[in-house]
Amino acid sequence: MNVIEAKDLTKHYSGKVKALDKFSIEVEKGKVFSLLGPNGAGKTTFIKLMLSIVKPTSGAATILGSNINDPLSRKKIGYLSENHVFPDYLNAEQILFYYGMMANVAKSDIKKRIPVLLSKVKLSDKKNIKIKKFSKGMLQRLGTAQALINDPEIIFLDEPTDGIDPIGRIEIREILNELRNEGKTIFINSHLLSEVERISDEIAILKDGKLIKRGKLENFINDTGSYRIKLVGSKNDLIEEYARSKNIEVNFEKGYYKLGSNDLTQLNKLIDELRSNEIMISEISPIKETLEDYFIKIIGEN
Amino acid sequence: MLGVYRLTLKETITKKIFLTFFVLSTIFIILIIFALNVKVGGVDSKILLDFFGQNINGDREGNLFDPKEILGYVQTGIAIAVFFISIFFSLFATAGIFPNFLKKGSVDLILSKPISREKIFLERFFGAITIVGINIFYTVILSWIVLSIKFEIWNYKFLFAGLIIFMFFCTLFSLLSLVSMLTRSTVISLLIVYFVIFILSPILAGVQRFTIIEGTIYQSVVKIVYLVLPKISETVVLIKDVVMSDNYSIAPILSSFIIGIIAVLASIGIFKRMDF
Ligand SMILES: Nc1ncnc2c1ncn2[C@@H]1O[C@H](COP(=O)(O)OP(=O)(O)OP(=O)(O)O)[C@@H](O)[C@H]1O
Ligand SMILES: [Mg+2]
Repeated sequence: MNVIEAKDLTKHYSGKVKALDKFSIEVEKGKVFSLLGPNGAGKTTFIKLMLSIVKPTSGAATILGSNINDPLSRKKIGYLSENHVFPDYLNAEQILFYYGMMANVAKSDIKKRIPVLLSKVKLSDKKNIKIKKFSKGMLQRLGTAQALINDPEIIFLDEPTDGIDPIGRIEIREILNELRNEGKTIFINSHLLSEVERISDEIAILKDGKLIKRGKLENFINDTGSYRIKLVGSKNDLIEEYARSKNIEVNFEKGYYKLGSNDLTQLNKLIDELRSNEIMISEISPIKETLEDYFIKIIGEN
Repeated sequence: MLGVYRLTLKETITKKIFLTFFVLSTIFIILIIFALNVKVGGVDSKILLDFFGQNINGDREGNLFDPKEILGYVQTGIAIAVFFISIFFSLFATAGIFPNFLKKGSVDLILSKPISREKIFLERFFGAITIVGINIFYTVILSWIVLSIKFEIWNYKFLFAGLIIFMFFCTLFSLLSLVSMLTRSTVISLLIVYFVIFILSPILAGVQRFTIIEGTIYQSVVKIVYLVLPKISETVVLIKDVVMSDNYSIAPILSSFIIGIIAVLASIGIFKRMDF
């Protein structure tokens, strides 16, 4: 079942900024979907269109089967906006209370969820502090808790790990994994490709408002068909000679030999050869293309 | 449930200006309670006033006061004071209600909730006027009760004057909201509305009365602009008439109020089309 569907969604801001151009996408229930793209690609615009924060120039979309023009389409939505601003005269607990009320959550449910969410984002001991005293990371955690106050089916996160330290990032990743295990759908906008690589099921890449690539994560982080080997000591001519004799492409880069082969028999023979010459091997591993490599390549091509 | 309304109440209460107004009203009422003594009696049930220990028994020619008339003056004074304070300070205190709300980053989160924009606007709007209404009616009703007991005259029309003040504030706040929607700036909105009510509207009222500008086109332009603006000078006269006499016309406040409703509808229309 598709919980998010957009068809030819287009947004031209006043003036001539084409922020999004005939963007179509479907997201299945229970998936973690990441929208990537350089600054100004239109990622935030897409989420804002889905939540009726900006109005489409043309095209249509549904969330959980309801048209995005219907406010009730947002009933089971959680949203963490980029650079969100909460009223600074409230404390963390009050923020969750008022934003829960705005999301039409019953008062008794809000009261029950507040302590659970605060402990989930590790703010329990800060719940009575006015948020004007919060650090950026604390605000981001509070924003995440706020996005979950109505127990949403779909969570839209615009740069969720922005401003969060490495440990905090792991914690957020854990929260997202928990949510995924509960069957929630998660839609993320991000620049942090290494983060995205760890949690996404599917990915779409946007540039200048146009969809240039989408697919399952595996399709973006293929094996390259190469291996790399590190030897103890510096360069060793033996390995180059051997590789050439077997017609394997070989390069030496940053202390590693890169071998253009993934034929395990051949590679093991090479190891035998090296070992019989008493050459110490400290590392051997397949070279995978990272999402970052792919991203840079495809953005460059387009 | 009414989350935006509740949040708006919370926000306005946090601002010290309303609390200050509340405390000042209370001090004022306590002052009347203790400082004003009214003895009805003497010839023809005329009145003896004692204010801060000063006996005021009559005018210079020795005529005693008519209690009804004196009460009318006192109540008119209070009503007009509340009127100007509520216009000036309450507008000042509520001017940020929409511009601050419409800031990117904070409005996004609220728009993402399952509420329509009409409802968000109205909850915000009513949140702001609720606090001002409480302030106005608190002062009006309490001073009415105290004065009525002292004078032994229950002038219900004073309460009606309170309602007119509140309606006039609502009208101005509607205009302020409309200008805020267009400019998204607290300062500019406030300046425009102050200019309209304290300068343009009184000038046009004068021009109207004395028909300074002759010539049909000017006259009709002035007339239309005048009709569209809230009528501050007429409303002040109306408040005095309501309190003091039985002879008054509520046309100025009604026409202002209708303009207010139109401004609210226009603001909603604009808000519904806005991108953030
Ligand atoms: N309110 C607005 N008015 C006019 N133009 C806008 C507005 N919001 C965004 N834009 C423009 O639309 C384009 C897409 O912006 P958007 O914020 O969607 O990009 P993004 O992919 O989220 O970028 P980032 O990674 O920097 O967050 C940009 O060119 C931006 O300048
Ligand atoms: Mg963005």
